[in-house]
Formats: sequence, C-alpha cells, structure tokens
Amino acid sequence: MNKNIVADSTFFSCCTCDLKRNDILFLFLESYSFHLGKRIFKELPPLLTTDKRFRKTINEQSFDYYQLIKPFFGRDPKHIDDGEYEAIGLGYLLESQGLLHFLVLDDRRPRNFVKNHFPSLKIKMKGTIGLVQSSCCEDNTLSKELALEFLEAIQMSVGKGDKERPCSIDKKNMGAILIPAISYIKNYHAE
Amino acid sequence: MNTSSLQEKRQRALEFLILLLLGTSDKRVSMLHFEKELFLIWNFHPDIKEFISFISHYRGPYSKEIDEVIKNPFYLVDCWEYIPPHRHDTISGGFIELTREGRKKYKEVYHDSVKNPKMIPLLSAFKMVREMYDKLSSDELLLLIYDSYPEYRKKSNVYENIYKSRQKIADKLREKGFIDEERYENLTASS
Repeated sequence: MNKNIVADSTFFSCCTCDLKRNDILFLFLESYSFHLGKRIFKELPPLLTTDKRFRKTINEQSFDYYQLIKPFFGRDPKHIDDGEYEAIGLGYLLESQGLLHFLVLDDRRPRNFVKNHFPSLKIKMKGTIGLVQSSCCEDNTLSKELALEFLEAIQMSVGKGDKERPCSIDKKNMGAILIPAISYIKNYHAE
Repeated sequence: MNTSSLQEKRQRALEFLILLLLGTSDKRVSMLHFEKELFLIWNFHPDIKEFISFISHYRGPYSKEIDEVIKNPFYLVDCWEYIPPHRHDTISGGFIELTREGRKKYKEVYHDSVKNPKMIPLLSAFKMVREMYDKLSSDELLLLIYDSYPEYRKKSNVYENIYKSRQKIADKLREKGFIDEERYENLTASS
C-alpha cells in the first residue's frame, strides 16, 4: 500500500503551472496516496481538475476542516477558502490513525500554526523541496536525475523571476532551503 | 419512527458523542470549553446538526441539549461527573470529568467506533479540538469565539468585559504562541 501524503495546492501548482512537469507530478501520484478536500481541489489548476487520470489517483475528502480551526484564524473572507487549513485537518485525521507519511505545506502561516499547535504533525511536515528530497533519498520513489531537474528548474525560475515564489521559494530563502537540498541530493548519491 | 423513539435515539446518540469527546483526554474539562468544542464539531460535521442546536446565550454559543444531557444522562449514568462551579467562578460553567466507569465505557465505545469508517473523521476531530482548545483559558477561548462568530455575542453577559480586556487577552495568546501577528491585529482592532 502506498504511503499517505496530504499536500496543499502549492505543491500541485508548482508541478503543473510553475515548472510544467506533470510527468513528475504523476510519478508522485503513482508512488504515494494523495489526500485532498474540496478547498484544495478548488485551488488546483483546471488542467488538473479536469484530468481523469489525476482524479483517479487522488483521494477526495469532504469535511470542512477550516471550521475546527477557524477561531485561530478569524472570519477574514480571504482565508475562509484557504486550502492550507484543510490540509492541516486532513493531515491530522491521517496522523491520528498513524497513517500519515508527510504533510506538505509551503506557506509560512499554516506551517507556524502546525509548529505551535500540533507537535505530532510537526515532525511529518515538509515543504515541496523537502518532499522531493525525501522521495529521492529516503523513499527512493524519485530518481536523483528527476529530483535534481525539478529543484534546478525551481532555482532557474526564481533566478529569472518567472514567478515570484514557486512553492514559496524566493531569492531570499533559496540559499537556506533550495541550495542545501540540491547539495544534499548530489552528496547523498555520490556516497 | 415516532417522535418519542426519535427523541430517545437522539438522546442516546448525544450521550455517546459526549462520552467520546470527554474520553479523548484524561483531563477534566470546563463546561465552557466542552460546549465550545462541541460547537466547532457541530459546524464541522453535518450529521451532528441533526441532534444538537446552538443559540446565543450568556457565554456565547450554548446548547440546551448538551447542558441537560451532561447534568442528567439517561443511558450513560455514572460515566461522568459534573462538578458545579465555585461561588466566585462566573465563567467556567463548572467542570466535567469521566468516572472510572466512564473511562471503561469509553474504551469499549471507542473500540467499536474506530471500526466504523464513518466515525473516523469525527474521532479525529474530537482529538483535534481538545488538543487545540483545552489549553486556552476561559477568557482566551471566549475572545476567539466571539471574534469568529459575532452572531453569538447577543444575550452575552460576559462579552463586554472580554471586549474591554481584548488587548491583554490577545497579548497572552500571542506570548504563548497560539496566534500569529495577523490574528493578533484583528483581535485587538477596535471592532
């Protein structure tokens, strides 16, 4: 049985829209079980939501997890439809059954929320970069070549200013997150 | 199904729901916390709306059904104890604690419930709300609830005081790391 992942929409958008690497996205989808809910689904690019193959590979859940954490974020309409909070709820659901492999969140606010409230989820939390690194070096679900292609494409996109922040990476945090991941993968496979 | 058997069914379901939420943590919980946690669950899970309703009351969202069942259970007698508030305690509404018998019953009911896939999201939501909200003081909890659900300020006899102290309460929430800067700002804003 595939290991379970809950990822926010930034992961899917990064693969499909920013890097245009659906081949890598489908590799992930075939190697793990991805769980998502209505809100995350609504944030996905139509290219994915209309794709039958994509819909077949994901597990859709239909509960409104934002309701459970709303008091910590308030009623600001700009957050009500945020998929990150649904991802946290789904992540918690799987973690409480001992079934969560990774919770993939790229944005700082929901990441901080998890760190401050859910120690058990914190250890399962990764960003898109961390997911690529772990898939390549721990789970062996992604080859070194594809992992590096993926990360170097983000590096190039940030460098060229194609998109402001693919999976929340910008010029500022590139040196702290992206470059070390690229080095780690290269060194890991050089051993 | 006739009205009385429907009522009996609802009463029974509510008692088991209360048992499951209470048993999720070993600690005793105030009525205020317990009721607000069930209110969030009520917003989260469509089925719960069938047998509980919430209205605006002295201390925010209030459910007569919950109050009555906690104080006078019919099916799960001796499973929990209601401890009335101290004379000067005007906010907690008293406390609820599982008895030894209740802990035993909880284990049995949980063991059966966990086998039902429909119950899994609910059980996980119980765990999540108790992990997030039990750690808040009564003032902190009420500030977050009143701010998120302004429609429940009506009839409140504590809202004015909570509102006047919002700066101090929000400072505490921020110091403890429970809310971030953005939430702090909207809690301390003038309306």
